[in-house]
Amino acid sequence: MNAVRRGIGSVIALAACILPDRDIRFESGLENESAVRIVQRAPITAQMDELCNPEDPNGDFDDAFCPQVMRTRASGLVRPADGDFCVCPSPGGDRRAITRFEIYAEDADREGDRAKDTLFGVALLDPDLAVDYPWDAIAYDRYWEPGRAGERISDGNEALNDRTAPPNGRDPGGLTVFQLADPSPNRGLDLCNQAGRQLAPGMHTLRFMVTDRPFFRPPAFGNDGEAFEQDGDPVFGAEQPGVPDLAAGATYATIDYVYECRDLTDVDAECACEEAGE
Amino acid sequence: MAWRSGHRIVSAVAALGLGACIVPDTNLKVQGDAVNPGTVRLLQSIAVTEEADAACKLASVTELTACPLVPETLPFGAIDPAAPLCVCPGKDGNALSYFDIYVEDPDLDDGRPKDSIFGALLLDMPAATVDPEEYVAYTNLLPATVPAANVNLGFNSYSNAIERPEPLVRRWTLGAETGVDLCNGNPAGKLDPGLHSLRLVVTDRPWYREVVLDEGQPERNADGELVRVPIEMASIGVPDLPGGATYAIADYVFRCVDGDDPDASCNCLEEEA
Repeated sequence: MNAVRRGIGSVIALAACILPDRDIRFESGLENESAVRIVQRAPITAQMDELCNPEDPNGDFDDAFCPQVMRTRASGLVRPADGDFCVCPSPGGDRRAITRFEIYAEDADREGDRAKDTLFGVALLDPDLAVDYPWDAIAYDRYWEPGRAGERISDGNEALNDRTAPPNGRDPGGLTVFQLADPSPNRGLDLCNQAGRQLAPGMHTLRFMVTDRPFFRPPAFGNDGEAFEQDGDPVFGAEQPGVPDLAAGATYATIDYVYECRDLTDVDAECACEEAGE
Repeated sequence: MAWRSGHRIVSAVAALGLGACIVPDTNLKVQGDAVNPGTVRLLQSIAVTEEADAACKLASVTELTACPLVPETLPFGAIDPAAPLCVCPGKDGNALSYFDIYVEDPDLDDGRPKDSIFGALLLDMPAATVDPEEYVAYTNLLPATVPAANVNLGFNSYSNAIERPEPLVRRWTLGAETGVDLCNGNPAGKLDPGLHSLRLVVTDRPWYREVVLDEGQPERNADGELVRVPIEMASIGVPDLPGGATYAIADYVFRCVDGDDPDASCNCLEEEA
């Protein structure tokens, strides 16, 4: 009888512990499970657009076909609608400044129902792999303070003809937006004259980097080579925007905007420089 | 008395059952309907400081001597060749050498990379187009239906990323045998002189296939799945958003110079017989 009872007990105990592994994923236990990703608007077809944004604004729509982010400036080649971007004599600027635009990023790491990681961004000009001081490439701090955190926004909106929806097939990680804008609401982004340093005529790349940890800060060392400590904690030097803190498990993602700055004195260039004092 | 004994047994079994089923939820994530939890990413190396490398070395549990980065390859953004790229009657002697594109996707199936990653190059595609397939280019360099190959970057490399799960890296090599002649090598024809934009789209599902409509709404089969057009009619360059695809985008921008321009330092090679 006891043997029967023990058998029944064992069966019940075992049965109670059989968890279906479908839909369950074991995480690594590491600090940074998910990598940051820049989210651009995906290429879509006319049919997808029609299903997401029907001609009749009150018509049925299917948000499975909607992009994740709203229309904004696409990466790649940036050109003015007409004429050329030009390097203009100081203090004037280029009348062909572009309108403010947004960069979206996501990171799936969660803590309960909340996003775990804050995302930070920096604008870089013509970054070069073969440099000792990557922060020399920091630029356009008039439009984005280097190392600043982006703003969290929710997934999905109902804008007319620009509907967006959370992604299908995975948990919506939530979006972070970085808006590149001139502090003066009436001014656009003058790519050739407001980089924070003089640009030479030619092609240039504005690279925006996002990362899911604050940018790297090196430990501070004394003249004796020993690391500084305060109350037992290490002391760090200045932040190095443009250098992700890979030692702390940071991930990063980049997006590139490329444009040509023409020389005002080039007879073939169609420049539209502001007059002094304008 | 007998009922007491039975009660003790039931209690013991219940306690055993409950105790056996306490599973700590640390590091355990319920995916629900998540058929594609991990997103695909394009990777490129960046510059870091000596101090950052030293910190990585200290933080690493392996023998890293520098921060874990993918190998250097042609950077995204403006292509800055040593000599101008030219539109030539034949081939461009200044054409780029082969280069790699690295992607990663964390999804696993029995410990192995789960998703196939597909890529397409789109040439001079307007941002607002709803016909991306029109702009698919250089299929000779990056066939849109050939997935990236799994790659082992070796010990003490990007695979040993710190405080992250091991990145599952894949790679395409473009122009391994031919080089990359951007101005002359597109199967659709030679490019016009001027600036050109080449957009790279990668995705972790096969390309989108249009859905069959029933009175304007997507038709679904008995299992609730969307009814699609045949695979031969896939919209190359369009990620399958309703199918749960993730995607990543990067851009190259380059200038093609007129090979007949006497002021340009072109290096046009004889037309092949």
